[in-house]
Amino acid sequence: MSSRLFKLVLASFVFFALSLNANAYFNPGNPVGFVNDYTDTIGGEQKQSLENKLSQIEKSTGNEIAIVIIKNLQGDTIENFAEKLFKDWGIGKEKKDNGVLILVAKEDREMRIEVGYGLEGALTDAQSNWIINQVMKPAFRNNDFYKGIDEAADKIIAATQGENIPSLSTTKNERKNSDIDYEMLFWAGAFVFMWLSAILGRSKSWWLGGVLGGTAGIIIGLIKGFLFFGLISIAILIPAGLLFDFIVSRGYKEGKARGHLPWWVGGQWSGKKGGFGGFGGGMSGGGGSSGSW
Amino acid sequence: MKNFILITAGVLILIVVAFIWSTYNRLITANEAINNQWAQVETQYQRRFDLIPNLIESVKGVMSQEQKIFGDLAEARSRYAGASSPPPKADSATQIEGALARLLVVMENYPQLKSAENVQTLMAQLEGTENRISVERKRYNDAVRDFNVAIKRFPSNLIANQLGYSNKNYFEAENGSEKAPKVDLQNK
Repeated sequence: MSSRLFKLVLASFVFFALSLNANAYFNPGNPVGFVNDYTDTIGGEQKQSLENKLSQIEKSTGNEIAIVIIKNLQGDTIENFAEKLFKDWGIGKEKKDNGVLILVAKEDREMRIEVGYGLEGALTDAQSNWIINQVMKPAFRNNDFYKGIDEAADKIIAATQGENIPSLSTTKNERKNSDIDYEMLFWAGAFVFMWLSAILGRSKSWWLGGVLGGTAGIIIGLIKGFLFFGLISIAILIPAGLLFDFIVSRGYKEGKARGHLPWWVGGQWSGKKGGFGGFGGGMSGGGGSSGSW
Repeated sequence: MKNFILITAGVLILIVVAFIWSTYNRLITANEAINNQWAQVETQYQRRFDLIPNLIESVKGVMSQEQKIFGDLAEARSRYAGASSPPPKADSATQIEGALARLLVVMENYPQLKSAENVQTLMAQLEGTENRISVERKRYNDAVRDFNVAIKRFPSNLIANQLGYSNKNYFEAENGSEKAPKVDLQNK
């Protein structure tokens, strides 16, 4: 154990060595649920019960516990890999950072519990270390990965329980208090914005936005019946329309090239599976503990 | 026609103002991100300093002949406490890392320490802290890089000059520190 610590101290001592191998990280893919097993180690039924348990915890406490089993780290350190993956997936709720990642690299025989900023007080490094050495390590040595992970999840749940008060009702309350007219206006505006983005983004032209802007300016001028006002509207709306068209068209093109369309194009939601709606955008700061078996 | 020229000029001024406004805000945000990230680094340094006395306390009975390392650690600690700006703080933190690495090497010679439960717990805590430090430093460097790129690129460099912003330094290894003590890492 202390040799691992020594490596860490040495790594920060020789800081650039660490920055260099930071490139070895790779994103294993998009999360399909709370349990992401890229090695088919955990069987279907066991996986389902684990998934249900973690999804239940997310519903009742808001804490997001992710389990990831990968083949190997491709030369990266498990600490770096866990921190990057945590950030990429955004485990835990945004701003609350109440996520925990259990990462297992099977071929490297390394494991890590990475704790989000918001849970560092509830699940300390020493506790994570205890879970790794007393719960996961013995089970992994017996090749019983499910048992080790399942019991580790139980311990983590126990440690984190009590710190978070359920907070599902807050958004609903806010909505009741808000002015309905403004909300309607907001949604109507958002709808028009997304609709225009989708149309203008897909069209190859860059001038259509300008024409639309000009038309809107003329309509405003006619309604107001006032030439000067109409001219101002036209002068502002034509460049605005052009710029808007240019931005969304470029976004669409770039998105298409990357194989990942921007959110405003639409038709993205079908890609998500079942009840899992993705993680909440939480962050970690390297807290937790690592071990090997 | 006069109106048209006026409107065109007005639109152009509006665009320039919008550009200056957003660039100014972006630079201020980037600068603040660095300060903010430095505060995160300092928080983790502090966490390390709070742990070191406990660690020394629990090992010094067994490691009574290693007074020099304890002295080095104490000295680096007080130097850090006396430093007021980031560069000397970073320097003394590097010094602590050197002393800490030596302490850990020497501890390998005392197997009875490894089995002691309180030492194990402290080690786990120190391990977590060291990892946090490396994460926060990495993010500090990222923030500095974003800032340095922003102030050098045209045309935002024009505004950066007005603000008096210049290149910020990265965390770097000290000269010779890549020849850190070698140790046998066989016994995990």
